[in-house]
Amino acid sequence: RMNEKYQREDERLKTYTNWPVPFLDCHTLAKTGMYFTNEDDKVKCYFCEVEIGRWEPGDQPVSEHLRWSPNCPLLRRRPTNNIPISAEALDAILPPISYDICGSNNSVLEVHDTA
Amino acid sequence: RTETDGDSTMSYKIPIHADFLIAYSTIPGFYSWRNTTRGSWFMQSLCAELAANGKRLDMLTLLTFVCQRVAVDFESCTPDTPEMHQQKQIPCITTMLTRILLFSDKGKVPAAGRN
Ligand SMILES: [Zn+2]
Repeated sequence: RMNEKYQREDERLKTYTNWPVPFLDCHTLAKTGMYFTNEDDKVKCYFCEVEIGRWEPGDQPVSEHLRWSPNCPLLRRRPTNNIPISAEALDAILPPISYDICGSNNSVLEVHDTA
Repeated sequence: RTETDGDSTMSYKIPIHADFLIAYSTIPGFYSWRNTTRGSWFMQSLCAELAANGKRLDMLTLLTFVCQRVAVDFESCTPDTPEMHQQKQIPCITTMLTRILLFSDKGKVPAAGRN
């Protein structure tokens, strides 16, 4: 079970003391929900529980996070118990809000079967 | 109706409806989901799979993995519309192919299938 304290960005940041990937900014990782598992180069998101490792030069923390976990509540800007160090800095780094839509009109959706 | 193929001495017929492949994003009567900033679930998955395995896997295996991506990786996120929230989707592959379809490089002979 995940440690509750990792809802706090400052606690997530503390996990990166032995972070082995110099080209990946641990501040960005911590800000966007990731803490270091201390296993190889694997980080884990407190909010969607996705684990990502084997980072390659050029990988971007947010886009990789979104790629492997397109519904992460933190990245989708849904309400979470995240305690950021700076809400403004987090807001600047999160992807723009996006909507899932189906049919012709997303504001007036008829109740309908979905697969 | 049928049409002929090959020369007159060794001719045979194939159905005119053979060798079609229709890959639908969803099953008949069901919604197809699209993210407003990243595109539809089906196209995201199709492009990802073509980029990753497009030259390695035959088309039907590839489309199976597209189905896997859409089915497993995606769930609608519409908290403002609870009846559409957390819905799923499965694509629908209708195949009339009579051979293995593989986008192989010139010179490489596919291992699978009769030719
Ligand atoms: Zn996440």
